[in-house]
Amino acid sequence: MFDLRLRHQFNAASLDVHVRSDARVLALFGPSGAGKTSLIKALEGSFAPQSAVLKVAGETLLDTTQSICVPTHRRRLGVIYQDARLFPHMTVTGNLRYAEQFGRAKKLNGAFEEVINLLGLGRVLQQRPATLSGGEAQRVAIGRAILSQPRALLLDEPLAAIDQARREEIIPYLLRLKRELSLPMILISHDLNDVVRLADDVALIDGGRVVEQGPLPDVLANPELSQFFGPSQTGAVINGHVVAHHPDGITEIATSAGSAMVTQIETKIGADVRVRVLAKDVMISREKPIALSALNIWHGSIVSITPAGARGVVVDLKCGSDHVLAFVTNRSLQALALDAGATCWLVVKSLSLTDPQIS
Amino acid sequence: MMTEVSPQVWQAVWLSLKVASLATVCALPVAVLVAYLLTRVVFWGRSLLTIVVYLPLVLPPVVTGYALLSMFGSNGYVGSLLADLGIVFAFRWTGAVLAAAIMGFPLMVRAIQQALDASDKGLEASAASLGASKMICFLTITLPLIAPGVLAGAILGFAKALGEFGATITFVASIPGQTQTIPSAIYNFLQIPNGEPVVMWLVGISVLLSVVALAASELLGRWMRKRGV
Repeated sequence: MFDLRLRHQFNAASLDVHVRSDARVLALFGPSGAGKTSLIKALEGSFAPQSAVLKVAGETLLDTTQSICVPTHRRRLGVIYQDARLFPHMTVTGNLRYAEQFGRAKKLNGAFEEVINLLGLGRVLQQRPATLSGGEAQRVAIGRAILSQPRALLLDEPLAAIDQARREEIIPYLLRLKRELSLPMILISHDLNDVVRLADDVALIDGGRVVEQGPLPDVLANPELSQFFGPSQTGAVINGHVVAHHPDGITEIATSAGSAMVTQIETKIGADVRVRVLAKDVMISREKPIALSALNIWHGSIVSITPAGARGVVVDLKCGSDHVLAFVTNRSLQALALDAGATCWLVVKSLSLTDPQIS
Repeated sequence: MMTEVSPQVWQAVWLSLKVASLATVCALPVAVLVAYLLTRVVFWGRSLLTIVVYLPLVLPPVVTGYALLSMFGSNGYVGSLLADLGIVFAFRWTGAVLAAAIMGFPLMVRAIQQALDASDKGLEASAASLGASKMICFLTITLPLIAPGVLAGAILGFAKALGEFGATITFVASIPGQTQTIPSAIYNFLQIPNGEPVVMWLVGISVLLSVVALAASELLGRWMRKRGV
């Protein structure tokens, strides 16, 4: 869906990236100033890189080697910015219908109503943008972009300007879009939680280079990247599905690593979910632990041990067909005599579920 | 003498209104275009255009009038060309319109430029991503958003045109009924004995016109703000 090559020399920095993905949602993740936004600007047509070949959904939008440059208004990319950028002199309806009236979008029967239902905009249609909350404005911006019938959506830090509590006004809607529309999306974010919730593929960008890219679980389970994510965010994501809601308030999720028990969630039985296991929340034991309050105790074998900072290591364990990462101090590493190939028990102190996924 | 107003007064008032309105109407679209070019388009000679546009603001008006005369006079380079087509500016009321338009132009451009600088370019990018061409984007997003600035520019330009004296009298002289606007009429009547009652009338009308123009702009501005622009 996306094949983006870009090279540009700025005054003080250079950008040289090649991102490829066929996933529904590709996330570009990295610190600010890493070059993510330049990539989006080149895509939307507001920045002319020295050398680039940008292909979206099979269409070449920019190819400096062949002098192809589709003008911005014909690129058919729905861009959603940090600030919603709604037109202040129009109502919400005017904003939503802008592409239909003044752009190149065809009027499709029922599309308007569908988008309003999808994004829950029925109550604000007659309002002016100035009277909307941040979450509402961002949803209108998303609806407006979808109604322009784009070949892809570009979300440039859509949640950055919105506080944590209000994010719940948007993320569920984005997941709904992902489920119900077959529209490829690029999500730019510097918040790994958003990436984990939404993305299928992820490209890590730092200092103008692609550090790593691929399917999200693979990238997150790569122990070499613990420096990149930092000690509080390093951790694997494993796929599972809900098998039971137990009467004592525990929901059971089946994964290849074993059953994951979490406090009750509302997700339907059979639904696919992602379980995020942070490396700092995993303890290792050589013998089967007994009489522990932790609910999740899995068994696995050590694949590799990678140094992470001065005091400890990241242990990559294979549990079933999934990988789990665990932080272990150098002292424990020696005390337990951990080595590649050894089998051990994993005590998972806590794990978090992300939203139901579609395959 | 006190009760009877000289017909020359009404002629001057009527001519001034005609000249100022026409000058504003003709110069405004060009001012919008030039302001847009100067703020939104990068091109060779942008600094040169800026200088040319703002020159009448700093040049002595008499110099501007003289420049117009030497260009558009019957012996002037442009004037002789236009004369072949039957268009004459020098010493005609149309020349007063040209002089007023040129003197008001920099004020209009400046007001519109300020509005363009203050307007959010992100909205234009957003309209482009929705499929709007540059022209459509200008008409549906940029122009409505800078409308208060355009209005302010128009009022400024109109006021400047009403009061323009130096360039006008140099370019088209002060022929009663033809090129004598309110300021040149005031100047003329101050030169003759017993002219002062007429001057008082002209001064009073000038003040009235200015107040009406300011009030109109205030009301229009309020109406625009109410519409959420």
